[in-house]
Amino acid sequence: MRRVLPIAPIYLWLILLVVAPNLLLIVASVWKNDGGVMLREFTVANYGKVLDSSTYRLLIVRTLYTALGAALLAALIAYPMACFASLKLRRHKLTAVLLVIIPLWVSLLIRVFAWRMLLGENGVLNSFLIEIGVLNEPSDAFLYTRFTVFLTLTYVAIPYVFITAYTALERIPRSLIEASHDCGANGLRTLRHVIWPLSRQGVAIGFALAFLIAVADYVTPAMVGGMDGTMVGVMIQSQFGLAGNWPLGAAMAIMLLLAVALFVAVIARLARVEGRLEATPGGAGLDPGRRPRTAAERAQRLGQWTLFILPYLFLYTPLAAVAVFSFNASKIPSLPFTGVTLEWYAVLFDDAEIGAALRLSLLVAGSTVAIALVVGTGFALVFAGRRRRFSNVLLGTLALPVALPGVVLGVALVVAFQVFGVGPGVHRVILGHLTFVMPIVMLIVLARLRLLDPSYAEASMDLGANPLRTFIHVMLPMLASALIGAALLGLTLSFDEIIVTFFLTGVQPTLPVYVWNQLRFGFTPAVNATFTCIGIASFLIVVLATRILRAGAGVRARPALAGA
Amino acid sequence: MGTRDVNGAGRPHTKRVTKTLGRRRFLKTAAATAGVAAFSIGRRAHAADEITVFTWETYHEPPWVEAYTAKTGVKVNIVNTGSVDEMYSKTRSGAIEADLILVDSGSVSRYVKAGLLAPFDAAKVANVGNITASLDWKGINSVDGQLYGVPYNWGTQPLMYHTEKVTPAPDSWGVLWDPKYKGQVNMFDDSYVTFPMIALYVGAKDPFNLTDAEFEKCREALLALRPQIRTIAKGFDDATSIYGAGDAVVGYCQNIAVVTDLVERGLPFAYTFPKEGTPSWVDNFVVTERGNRQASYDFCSECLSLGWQKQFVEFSANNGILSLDNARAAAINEDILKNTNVIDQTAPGFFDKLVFFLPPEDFDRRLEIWNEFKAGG
Amino acid sequence: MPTEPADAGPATAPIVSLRRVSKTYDQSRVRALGPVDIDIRSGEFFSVLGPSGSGKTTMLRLIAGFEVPDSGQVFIDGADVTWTRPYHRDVNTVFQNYALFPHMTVAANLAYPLRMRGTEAGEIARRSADLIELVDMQGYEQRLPHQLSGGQRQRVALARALIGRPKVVLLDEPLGALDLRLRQQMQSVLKRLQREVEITFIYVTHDQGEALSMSDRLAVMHAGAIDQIGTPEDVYYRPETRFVAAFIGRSNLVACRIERGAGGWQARAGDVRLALGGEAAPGEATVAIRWEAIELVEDGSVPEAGVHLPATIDSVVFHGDTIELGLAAQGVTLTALVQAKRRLRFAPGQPVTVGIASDDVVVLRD
Repeated sequence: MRRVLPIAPIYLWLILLVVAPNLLLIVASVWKNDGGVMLREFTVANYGKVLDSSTYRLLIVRTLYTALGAALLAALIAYPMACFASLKLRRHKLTAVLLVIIPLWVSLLIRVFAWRMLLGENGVLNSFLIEIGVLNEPSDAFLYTRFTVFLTLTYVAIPYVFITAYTALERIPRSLIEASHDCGANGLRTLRHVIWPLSRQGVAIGFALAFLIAVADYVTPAMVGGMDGTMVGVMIQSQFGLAGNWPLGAAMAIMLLLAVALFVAVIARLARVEGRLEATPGGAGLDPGRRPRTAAERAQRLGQWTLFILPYLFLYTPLAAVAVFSFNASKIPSLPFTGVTLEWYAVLFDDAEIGAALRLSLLVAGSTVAIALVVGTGFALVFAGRRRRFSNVLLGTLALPVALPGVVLGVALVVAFQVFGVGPGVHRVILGHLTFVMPIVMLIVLARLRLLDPSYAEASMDLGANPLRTFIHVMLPMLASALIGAALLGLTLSFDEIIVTFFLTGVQPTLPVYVWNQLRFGFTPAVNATFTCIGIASFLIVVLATRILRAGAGVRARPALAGA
Repeated sequence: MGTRDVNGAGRPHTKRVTKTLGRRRFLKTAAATAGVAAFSIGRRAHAADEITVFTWETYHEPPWVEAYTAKTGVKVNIVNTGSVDEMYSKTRSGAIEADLILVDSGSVSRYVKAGLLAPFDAAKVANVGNITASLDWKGINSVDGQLYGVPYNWGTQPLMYHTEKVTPAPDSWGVLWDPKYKGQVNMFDDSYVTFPMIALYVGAKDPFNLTDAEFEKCREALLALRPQIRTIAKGFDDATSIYGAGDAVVGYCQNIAVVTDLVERGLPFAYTFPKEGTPSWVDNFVVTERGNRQASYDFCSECLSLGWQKQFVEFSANNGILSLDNARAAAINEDILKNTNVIDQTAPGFFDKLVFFLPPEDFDRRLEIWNEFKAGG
Repeated sequence: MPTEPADAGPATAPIVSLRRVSKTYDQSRVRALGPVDIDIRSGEFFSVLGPSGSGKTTMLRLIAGFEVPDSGQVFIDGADVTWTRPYHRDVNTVFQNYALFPHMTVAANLAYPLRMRGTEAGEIARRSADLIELVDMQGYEQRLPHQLSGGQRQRVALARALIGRPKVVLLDEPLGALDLRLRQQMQSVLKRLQREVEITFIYVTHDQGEALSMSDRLAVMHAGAIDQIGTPEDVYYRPETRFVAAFIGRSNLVACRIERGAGGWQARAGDVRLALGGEAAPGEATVAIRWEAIELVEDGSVPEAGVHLPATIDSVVFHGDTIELGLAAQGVTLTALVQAKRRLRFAPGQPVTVGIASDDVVVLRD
């Protein structure tokens, strides 16, 4: 009984929010469709139809190819950046890392819209090129092309690859790099033989994440790719329109899922590394001092800096455009400025619709993260005590929604909520977000728990604290940084989610859905103003959180001058 | 019906000003309304004094709704859709639980079949008598003899074009396939809405009951159309900004509000009824099971009132549902009225050129071809 | 003072030399090292002994090339390598945490340095086999580092550092992570290997036992400076500074005045006069007397060159093989460490006579 009790909620969660929706999706995919109504008769015809459809084949190939391309490009840009930040930077390391992550806090839609603003026919790039006389008339070559889709998806993917690559790189003990130099390997060969093999798993995780995000995203490609940006998600979603062929939509979703799973498995296989990094104190980033450099070395250094700095320009140009145009008097975002105004900020503070959407988003993100923290930590504590193989299976299954393409998750949840009779409203959106935020919180907390020495808890209990007080006074302070990190990530994911939310949201839109509607139903630069504010606010929050964490970690975090 | 140039000299300057003011006012008043709305998030709506209307842009502008709430105490949530498909999918998936939906007559049977609607009791709508006799609204809104809705607005989906860049003025849908306008054609992202136009272009006998051969022709026409199109609009405003940004010069016009809006911005756009025929629609109030109560019918009635229809027609330049006599009685600005079809509807033979939406023979098949078109080669 | 030309021994050129080398880390204001001068002879087992923070690891890293000095020069085999990259230096390191590449097998780890210099495969295989045998790791070639025990990893790390036949092998507290028994075992392995391969070992440690037992010579470091360089015996018996005297073994440090007495130089502390073995400079000074250099004198025995003092026992600590006695001798407090014997019985308050040989009284520099 005592062993069953703590694990019961895990099963409940698993069954209600993971197994049931996916099972229902599978069940729905083998039902018959009769003029928009599901008939509970078994058929595999839907799969036949999917396999038969040249359009589906074309779109799935295009989607996978685009997503892989974008993820690859993102990895090519982010990995050198991460290497540079992790291995070369010392004093401004944290700033460099934060600067890559902050764009994640600015809504996906606005980042995408920013590209439209930059590249459109009356956009910034065109008007600039005309202004300086490079072009005589606006070129239509920049927007609504496959290349723009690549560019934008890459833009979105860079922070994900960067952060996982960076984390992996930080875990490599510096002594291994020194050992490699010591064995006669120069920088490049050390990168190839030591750094890359030891960090490629991290890169692969980021790559897979970027790939999954790009596969699931059909809003971005449609917005910047025009007709050429049509992705398989659009086709799946269209089955839920007037044609109302849910079974076919479910079958398409499952086929997509299988294709994606195959790719992710291949990526995981390719990235696998033998051997295990053990937690050893690496010769903390000591200052090696400055050597006189040869011309070749100076050129190499210049190259490295360029590869490091350029992506920042890439990351921030669109954001800067958003900020700048929030002060433009004209409604149409093109150069030259028609005048500087604060009108849009005034409108923003007057406009209760944006306010309401923002509040709803905060409510959803806040509730989601709060629940996810409690549940995720609870689950993590249960799992921390169990190391059996079956526990890993449970863990993997719980985390499944994280890996599901948004459109598949959305479809599965809609079907499940329909069957369970969960009505529309905030709770539905929160439940939807919880399916992917909770596992992330859980995994982060669990990773931290497994690093902690169990004797701390034992010592506390030995000193007379019951498990609850042990948790509050001993475990919680030690988990604090993991919890804050998980909360920030959860907030981002929930705050920015649009694909799943789009399926679940009711009458009141969340901010991203509101913005999406604004883009369709009447854009004003007040949206730019909103995101300029959000960007600044999130920057402050991140900086504050890091400050708190640093103050908390105190002495421990400071690199001790190793044995010197 | 000939070309109608809404940018014509007869168009008074005053209208533009009024509308701009209207938009500005809307932002202010919307603030107050939504501020109240924000506090009800998460709470269960009080069924008696709150209704949700799933509608289209320009149909239920916040200031009007706000005024209604002030008058009656009934709070009205307005949710706009981007396409017929989106409206159906969100209703069907339960994402939007509306009391009233503005469904076009061709889709009513689809909603009925999915069990989404309650029979409509027209007797509970006081102003039902204001509806023009030109429309056979009872016929088009009945499924198996049961009435499911009353009309709110009707209109056409004509061919719109940039009067300076598309010359001579087109008179056929064929202009969309003209290589001259490669990459400059705009369409609406809605298979249901777009397909009948394609069917008319290929000369289908009945655009809502295509033969296999006609389907094939439509498919070929769509594939040929694809290189003409760079981006596809996801709402009226999206269309406006695409044309406004210069990314398109000619296209299938989902709502003439797009043309009016562009003209107001000083861009030379116009629309015309092509010789092949123009798809036309009637948007109707339908009630869901949960919306089947007096508060919903009262709101319908308000929307059919002369005062409401006046503000709607003046704002959107749509037709509304008033007869010409009622429109004059409502004192709708005569210049705006000239830009609508309210006067035209009395002209003999006017409706001959229009093809009203009917339930199509096979949604799946249309969607499949549409998806193929969108996917491209 | 650090260089000791007098102690330079055979006239072989030094294999590693530091000249006025100093280093300050960016993050800290405190100088981590120097300026120091040091010469390490070819083929010797040289230890650098010091507590943590004394600059010994910094010195090692400067020799390895992981860091460059703020000023001064580093020479290896006569060549100035101050700015040379680690991968161009003929020096290999055995890291504190071994730094075996976790994704490579034992064989791959061993082959790595040879691969980097383009050695052909046959030669790599031959030399790997030799080294595997040398460190007694036959049968473990295909294991990954995490599948090895601490001692085994240690041996692989050593083999990896030796396989390229470098001029110098640097060892950074390589035995720190091992338990006592294994440590002692590895000490003899290291010493034996060093003799067999005839490569200069520079061994950094904070363990005086290791340094004394293994080294040909050692340097004692303190606060970024070298306090003393010499053979283990030199450093042990003739410490030059208070730090060396206190850090290596245990000594009584007695503040005194050096005077010229009747029988030669003597140190006076209170009423105690200690005879000194050799020449000295007059003035205030500190002398060091090893605990074990203070002998209990049986009544009537003849003193060797030194003094006899009457004293009282203050405290007794029994260690098993030794007994630690706190003594008060004419106003000077001393500690003596005597061999424990069953018949010896001590109690506080008991009067005794202690004898201190004059060679055991060492005048310190500071």
